[in-house]
Amino acid sequence: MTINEILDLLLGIYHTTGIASLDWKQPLMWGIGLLFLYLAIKKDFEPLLLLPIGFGIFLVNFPLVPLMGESQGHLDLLRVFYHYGLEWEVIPCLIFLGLGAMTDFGPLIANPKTLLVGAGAQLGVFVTFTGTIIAGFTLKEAASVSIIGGADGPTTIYLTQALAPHLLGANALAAYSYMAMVPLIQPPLMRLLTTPEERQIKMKQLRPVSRTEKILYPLICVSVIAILVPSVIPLMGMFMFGNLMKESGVVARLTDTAQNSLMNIVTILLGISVGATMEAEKFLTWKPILIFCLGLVDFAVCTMGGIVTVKIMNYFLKDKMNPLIGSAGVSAVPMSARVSQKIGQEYDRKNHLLMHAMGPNLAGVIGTAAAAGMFIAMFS
Amino acid sequence: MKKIIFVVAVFLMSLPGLGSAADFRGAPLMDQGRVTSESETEIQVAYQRPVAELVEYYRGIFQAQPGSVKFRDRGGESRFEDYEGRAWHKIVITEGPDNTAVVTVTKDSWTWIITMLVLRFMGVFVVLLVLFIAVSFSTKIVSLLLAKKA
Repeated sequence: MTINEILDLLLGIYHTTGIASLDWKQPLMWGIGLLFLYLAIKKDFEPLLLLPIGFGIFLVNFPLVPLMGESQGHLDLLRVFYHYGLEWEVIPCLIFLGLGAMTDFGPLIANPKTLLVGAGAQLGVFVTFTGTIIAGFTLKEAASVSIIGGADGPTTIYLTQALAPHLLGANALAAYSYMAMVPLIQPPLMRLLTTPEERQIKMKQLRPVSRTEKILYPLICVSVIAILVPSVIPLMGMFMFGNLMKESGVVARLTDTAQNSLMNIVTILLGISVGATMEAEKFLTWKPILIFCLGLVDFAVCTMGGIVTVKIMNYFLKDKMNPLIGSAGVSAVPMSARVSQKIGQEYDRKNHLLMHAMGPNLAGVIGTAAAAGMFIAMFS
Repeated sequence: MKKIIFVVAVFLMSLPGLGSAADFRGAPLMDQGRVTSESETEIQVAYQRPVAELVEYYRGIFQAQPGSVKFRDRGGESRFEDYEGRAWHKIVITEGPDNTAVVTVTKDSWTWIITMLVLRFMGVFVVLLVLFIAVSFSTKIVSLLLAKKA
């Protein structure tokens, strides 16, 4: 062999490594991935999602890695998860199955008028839609970005995949990041929109809810949603299925699987798939930055919408509701309900708002799904 | 620290306002049409051709972009609607007098967007209101039945 041939061989080997294909974008994305890993591990910001998402971002932004493309006639590993889990919209529905199996709708059933608070808390979704159009997004993109304010990860992913799949990574990241920041975002707005007297309103203790009511509720909910907003039934159907399994009490094994193993498996696959969509070429545009900005506005207006809805309802109610529970209409379950409890107790230590706030919190999940269904119907 | 967070939050919230909307015209128009009216938001062109021919013309153009332009046929008018941020929002083809066809191209309209959003927001309230009524009704029946049983 001549020297040139050996050098050619070495050069060939060099070109199969990622070193030759590195540019400035990949290290920047590594930094972003590592930032989310730091937030998840050190700051405990939604670690169940942000850790796999952060790692997915980090992993997929190395050059030449066969993860999100096609190799030798078949899909690469993360592409398989993404295609069958997200493109086919399976993972968000399974997450909702697990969430339904973990949810107790008792507080909502005991005080069903809090459903309207969940509707009012979707105000930000529709206001942000307008702002998103002004910022230069298309109508479909605007719908997928504005649903972030509903603070519902699976619904955000479901709608984004349906309308603007190229924004999936940025939308999911914004949604989960802001969900983790609910204790920072909401309190100033809650104090701004309520008076000290309103914050001290004590609500009547919730009545006990029978097992029969809890079994009937998922059936009623799914019937109403299926008739009025059929496009979102894959999500809500699975949510209510999980809840029915839990409330029936006769399929403990299945409920246990849905709550634990199944949830954990799909959470891992969801996180890593979402992170893997954030390749440098797709992510490093002006859109993700705007999405993060708009997401913040969205959350804020949704919080305000929920509080204002309670205040309006109080004009018509004999037993007033504490407006602080309105912010729990932002469906970051149960974080925003805990924020309502915490702020309420700052003004009256004996005022326990947590269970009252769970009503709007759960109503917000249904409200966000209804809003998503409205957007899907708009474009179908 | 709180002041810094507040300033950063205000800055982030104001950034979207620096964006700008795209131009709103640019729909394809067949040759040999006569412009009957034109304004900032709408243009109307009459053709000595049947409606079906114009519908096929536009279908052919938009077939190359599946999903981005929606076609609707509503008694008396055929519409092509865009939701992907084109300069125009809809192209409506209707039958004019004397076997002519009239093509109306409408610019993206804030009135349409705001109206649509308000209706959809009300729609969310309607859905949850119906659910509220259904749940209230069912819980009353269950309470009565349980009281009877007791």
